[in-house]
Formats: sequence, structure tokens, C-alpha cells
Amino acid sequence: MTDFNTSKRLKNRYKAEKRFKIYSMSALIIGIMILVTLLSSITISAIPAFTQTSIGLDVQMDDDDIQQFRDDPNEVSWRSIQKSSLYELFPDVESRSQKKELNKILSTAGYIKIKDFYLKNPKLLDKKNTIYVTASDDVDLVLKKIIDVTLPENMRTVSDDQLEYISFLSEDNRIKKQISWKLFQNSDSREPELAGLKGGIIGTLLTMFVTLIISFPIGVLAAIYLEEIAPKNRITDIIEVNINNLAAVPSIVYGLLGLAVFLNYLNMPRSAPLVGGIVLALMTLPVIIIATRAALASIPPSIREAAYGVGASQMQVIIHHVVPLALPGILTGTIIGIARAAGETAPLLMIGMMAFIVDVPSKITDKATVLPAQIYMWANNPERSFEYLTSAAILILLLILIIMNLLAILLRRKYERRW
Amino acid sequence: MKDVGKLMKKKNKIVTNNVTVDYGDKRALHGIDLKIEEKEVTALIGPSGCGKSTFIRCLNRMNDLITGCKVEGSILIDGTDINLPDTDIVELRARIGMVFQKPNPFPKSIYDNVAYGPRIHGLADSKNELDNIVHKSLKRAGLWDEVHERLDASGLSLSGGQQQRLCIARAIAVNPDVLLMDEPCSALDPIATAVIEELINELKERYTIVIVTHSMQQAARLSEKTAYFHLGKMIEYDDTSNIFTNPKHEMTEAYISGRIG
Amino acid sequence: MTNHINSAFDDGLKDVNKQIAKLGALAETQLDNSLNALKDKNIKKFESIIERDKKLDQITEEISSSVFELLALWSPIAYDLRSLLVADRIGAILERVGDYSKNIARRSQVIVTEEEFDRLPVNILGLGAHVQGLLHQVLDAYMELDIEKAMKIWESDVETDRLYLSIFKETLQVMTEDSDNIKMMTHLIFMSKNLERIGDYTTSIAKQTYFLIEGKVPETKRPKAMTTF
Repeated sequence: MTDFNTSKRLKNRYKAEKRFKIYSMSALIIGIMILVTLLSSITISAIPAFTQTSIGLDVQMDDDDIQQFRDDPNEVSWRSIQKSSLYELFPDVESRSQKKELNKILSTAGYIKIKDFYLKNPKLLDKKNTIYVTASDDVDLVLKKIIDVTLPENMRTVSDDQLEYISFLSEDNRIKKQISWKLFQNSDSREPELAGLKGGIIGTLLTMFVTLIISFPIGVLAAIYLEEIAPKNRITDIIEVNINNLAAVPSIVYGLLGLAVFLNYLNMPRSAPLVGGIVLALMTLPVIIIATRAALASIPPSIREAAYGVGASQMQVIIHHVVPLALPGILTGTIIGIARAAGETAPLLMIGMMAFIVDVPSKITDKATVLPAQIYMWANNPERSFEYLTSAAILILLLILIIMNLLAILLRRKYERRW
Repeated sequence: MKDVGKLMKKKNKIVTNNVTVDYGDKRALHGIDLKIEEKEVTALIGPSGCGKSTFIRCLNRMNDLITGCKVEGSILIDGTDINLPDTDIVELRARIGMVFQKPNPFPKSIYDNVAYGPRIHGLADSKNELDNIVHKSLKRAGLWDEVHERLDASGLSLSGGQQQRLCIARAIAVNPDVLLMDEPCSALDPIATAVIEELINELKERYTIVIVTHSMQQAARLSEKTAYFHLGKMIEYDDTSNIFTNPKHEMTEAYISGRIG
Repeated sequence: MTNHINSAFDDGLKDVNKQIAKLGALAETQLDNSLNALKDKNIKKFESIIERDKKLDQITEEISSSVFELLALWSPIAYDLRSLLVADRIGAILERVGDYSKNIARRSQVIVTEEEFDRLPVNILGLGAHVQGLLHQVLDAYMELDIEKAMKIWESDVETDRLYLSIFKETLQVMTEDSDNIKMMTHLIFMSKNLERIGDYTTSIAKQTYFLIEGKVPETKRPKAMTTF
């Protein structure tokens, strides 16, 4: 017998095998490291979005205000209460311009916290209370030393006076930072400390809903027809080629279609999840058709033969046997298609969902925006505070996509059947 | 010892006349004339590609499922030509059951496997009746004792031989007259094969059985009549004992004895 | 017939055929030798014929065991099955033919020493030659698979019977006329009976040959010349 393994060959072979393993493992590690770096940098810069800085004011309501509150809390001039409470802390501030500066330290809607406090604790109306009011985003930036205080005053967003006020409040322990869920509770705002994603999230969900109920039934049924019922001839070949091509069309083309047909010709409401949903459905349709066809084709013919052999009609074979077995593949393809649509921006740009919309949409014909659009708009905002909001929004979008993919995996696991 | 039943003349269950099958422009069967008697086992033997599977699939119009396949000639079952275009294929396939080479139970429970056919054909009016049909079919297929305590287990959890018996139960649940079996034992071990052969011996008292087999010995053990196919033609068709002791055609002798044709 | 695809089976069958041919040649030789030895009163030859019979027994045993093994391992059917069954049966027949030749030699040993031997009226050698012819022809028919030759043997048993009957009658007559030679005559009767049995066996071999070729036994009843006497 020939001697295949002289010890030198053996050693070289072992070394080569080891090298191969190391190379492939390194590739994996590099990939993971890139991913981890990206994710952690986004996460770290998103943290401030989940905190809120507040400033403690000593508030004492006078009797008129208390009476007014008892009649109708909304009629109380909370703003002036807030202002007077703030001025009390700084008795030296007298000039109007200085007072204006002082006021800017608080958020424009900070007074709402005072109202909320008394609504929650009406028994404390006549007492003097320290109520924490939302601070302006500049306070946070100063405390985090993000604002460069060495720059001359006219190159900063914060004046010297304001810096003094802030440090005074800080030494007086009146500045509090807490975890807040305002990101999920508020809709968009020009003020970064008040801006939230509620509108964007609901808009995304509504749009996804429309996309799903249009693309899923049409896509699955079309795929069933093409795969199971239609005769295999030139015409169906051409259709198949075209569907594959449609799946690769740049998404902005669908947006142009939406603009031309749905908005201009059919006069559907602009910026609405209805139109956005239809446009994205058109984009997702080829994906669902292809995934469904692949799932149907992967069912072995022995299942169909067994059903035909027992005297089932074509419809019965498809509905009772083929589709249930193809369901994991169909669902996975659908969810992946929808998840892809959830991250689309360009087509929605064309139909106007990139607007600044403050109200949270309640039905599919309301004006709305979607998360990717929201991210884009916040990213373009020059104010520094919008940076962490953008990162937070990216995290939320990623989270939604991960949830959808997990759903796909769970559904696949649940309905997976061997054959 | 010949039993009295055989001495009485049996009628022909299936009569084919000049059956020809083309796949596109390739001819797979050349004018097959065959008479299959009722309530006995007829075996079809021949080398690969000789057309025996194609022929058996003509009998329940399964060749319709293959695009480009054309079947001509008349196929009379109980005197009615089922190869006419107006035949109700769904009903035909309930009268003519089929068992395939690789056991292919539905990925459903054992109960649902057997109950599926009766359900879609409306053979049971109540759950009780359906239960009866399932019980009877599983018993006739020799599977009841082994599975009656786990009827809701998946059909795929059974062994190969049990799965094939489940497929047989499924086929007989719709009360057919004829059972077509396309190499039913080729995927099974010898013991499972023997069990199925014993089952076929019992089933032939009720059903007309046509079986395609690669095993000469199996055809010899099971069938009353044997037909030898070669390259799409039927070379010889006779009582099994004649075919295996003294065949008339050289080609038959060569094939069954493993000689160079 | 063409060869089997699996040539190992053909090898097995060839071996059996060779053994049968050997056995057939030996049986013919034994018969020839015993008749010649009787004619020439060659006492030495008688011993060697009797000894030789063991070889026939051995070959028959080998044939039987080869056939058995081939049947078990190859499950032959149709022609192959018939050829093995027939080989086994003919092997057994030829062994008995050999036994009869041995018996003739044994009895010859006894009677050639008798004084009256040279004045033997009985034409036992004629019967012997006839039967030899039959044996040779039928073995040819079997080896060549010649069905016409085989059928001729099947029908010519009549002649054997006739020859035997005449010897039998004559022997009886001599015994009643002259009671001194009863011992020799009795042996002669047995010896001619042996030859007649050998003739019978050749028709068996013919029948087996027919069965091998046609797949069924011949239908016409074999013509016989006597019932009994």
C-alpha cells in the first residue's frame, strides 16, 4: 500500500486546516466587531433621549389662582405662575432682556408640569411646593459640557448670563435628571426636549397595516395561481421574469407612481398612511409573490399525488395540503417584505410623508409620517440636541425591525412541519 | 389446492384497448390490450422504463397531472370507458385507490390521514360514522392494533412499513373497487414487505389489485396473473405459475431468469 | 439460451453439466465393461468394475449437493429451475444404472466358473448391446437437448421388453428341462432383469429431457410390450 502521509505532508495539512479555521473565524469576529461598534455608538449617543432634565421651582399659588383652578384648571395662567416662581429664585435679575434670557432656561412647555402636579395632588394647592419643570435642552448640553464655554459669547447658543443662572441652580441642587419615556409619549416638536416619536411610530404602524392587507392577499393568491394552476407556457414565463424584475426596481420609482396616479390623478389625501401603504404594497407585492412561489414549489410532488390519489380536486389539494405546508415560507417572506417596507423613505418622500406633523394620526386618511422619514428629518436638524434624538429613533426603528424578524422566526418554528 | 372460487368464471374488472401514451413526441406505451380480472392480484413486471408505471397511472388518470402527456385508447372499468374527457376524475380516483412507492402519508394525524378522503367525498354523516370508517380501514390495513391508542399522533411518526399501511388504509377508506400499487414495498425492509404482502393476500378477497413490482419473487408470491412489459409493449400476459415455470416468450424467459436479453 | 447477466450462476450451472457428463460417461463405461468382461470371462475386470462403482456414487452425491446449493442461493425459475431439477434426477438415475452394472459384474463373477457356462443358450449379450445403445443415445439426447432423439428412446422401450421376455422364457424352459443349471440360470434371470431395468431408466431419462425442453411431461403413455407373465 502506498504511503500517503509522510510526516511532513501531514504537518502541512494540519497547519493549513488550522489556518483556514482561523481565517474564517477572524472574518466572523471582524463582522461582529463592526456590528457591535455601530450598535454601541448609536446606543450610547441615544441615551440622553431617554432622560429629561428638570429644574425645581418653588411654586406658591395665590388664592385667585386656586379658585380659578377649582373652576377650570385649563384657564389658569400657568405660564405666568412659572415665570414668577422662576424670578423669585433670581431676585437680582431685573431687566427685561435678562428676564427673557432667564426664561429661556426653561422649556416652552415646561409649565405643563405644574398643571399636572396640581391635577395629581389637589390637596397641596394651598401649600408651597417644589415642582420640577422641564428645562430647555441647552441646560443639558451645558451640564454635559457639550457646549464649548471657552468660545466667545456670540459664537455660543448660551449666553454668559445663562451660564451663571444654570450654575447657580445646579449648586442649589435644583437640577434633576430622570429617565423619561417622553420619546414614546410625545409627538414631534421643534423643541428637542419635547420631541417624541409617538406620531412616527403610529404612522409607521398604520402604513404597515395598509401595506399588509393589500399586498398579502393579492400576493399569495397571485403566486398560487402562477405556481399551481396556470399552465407552463411562454406567457407565464414572461410573467415570472417580469415579477423578478419588479422586485429589483428602485423604490423611488414606486413613489413617483404614487405621486402621479394616487395623488394627482385620483386625488387621494396627501401624506396619508393610506397612500403610503398602497405605494409600499406595490413595492412589496413582487417580494411576497416570489417568496410564496418558492415556498409552494418546495413542497414535494408526492404530497400532491397522495391527495389527488384519494380523489381530491385541485382546489382541495391546494387549500388543504399545499398552502398549509407552505405557510412558514409564505409568512417568513411576507414579514421580511413588510419589514423592508417599514424602513423605506424614498417613495414616501414623493408622496409627502416627510412633512413636520405634530398631531398623532388616528386613521389611515390622517396626515402622518413614518419612522424612517422622522429619522431623516431629525438628522437634518442643525440643533445639537437632535443628534441624540436621531440615534434614539434609529434604535427604535431597529427594535421594531428586530421584533418583526423574531416574529417571522417564531411563526416559522410554530408551523414548521416535516414531510 | 385450487379453491372453488377460482373455478367459477371471474369477470373482467378492467379492460384496456389499444392504450397508447405519449410524452410529447416520445411514445411510452404502444397499444396495450389487457384484461384484468376482479378480486385477484395482477402483477406488472419489466425492466426500468418499460412503461408499467405509466400504464398503471392510466387506470386512475394520474397521467393527467403530467403536462404534455397524452393517453389514447379505451380503458373500460366495469364496462365504462374512463378515458373519455367527460369522466369525473375526482369520483374515479375515489373508486380506484393508489399506493405509491415511497410511503407518503399526509403531515396530519393518523386519524386525519384516513378520514381525509371520506370527508371530502362526504361519505360520513356524523362523527360516529367517520370514526367507524377510520376504525374499519385501519383494521383492514392491519394497523389498528398498533395505533389505536395514538390516533392523533402524526402520521409521519410511524415506521416505514407502518406508514405504507397507513397509506393503504387511507386508500381503502373511500371504499374503492380497485387498488393500484406502484412498487409499494421497494422502500421497505424484508419484514415490513412480508407484512404488506400478507395484507395484500387478505385484501384481494375484497379489492381488485394491480401491482407493479421490480421483484420477480414478489410477483410470483402474490399474483394470480402476471404481465411482462418491455419498452412500452406488453410481451406476455398469463397465469403467474405459467410465467414462472414455463414462459412462452424468449424475452420473458430472459428477463425473469436474469439473462442477457 | 443466452448467458445470465450474473455470470457466477452460469459458472455454477456449467460445473453441474460437466459432472453429469462425467457421470454419464462412467455409467456407460461400467455397463460396457461388465458386458465385455462377461463375454471374455475376464475375472480381474469384475473386481475393478465393482470397485469403480464407488466413484459413481461420489459424483452423484456431488451433483446433488451442487444442485441443492444453486437452488438455495439463486432461487431459479422457469428453464433454469427445470434444468437443475432434471440434473439432480438424472444423476440419481445414472447412479442406479451404475449399481445394476455392478450387480451384473457380481453375478458374472459367480457364473463364469460354472462348467456349463460356455454352452449358454441365452442371448443375454444381445439384450446388453441393445440397452447399451439406448443408454448412449439417450445421454446424447440429453446433452444435445434433442427432443426427437429423446422421444425415440421413449418409444423404443418396446424392443427391450421383447428381448427380455424372450430371455426369460428361454431361461425358464432350460431350467425345467435341466435342473443342474438352476443356479446359473437364476443369476442369468436377475442379470437380464437388471438390463431391462437399465432400459427402463433410459426412458426415464428421455422423459426428463422432454420435461426440460417442453416444460411439461410427455402426454402419450409409454408403449409397453408386456404386462407380466
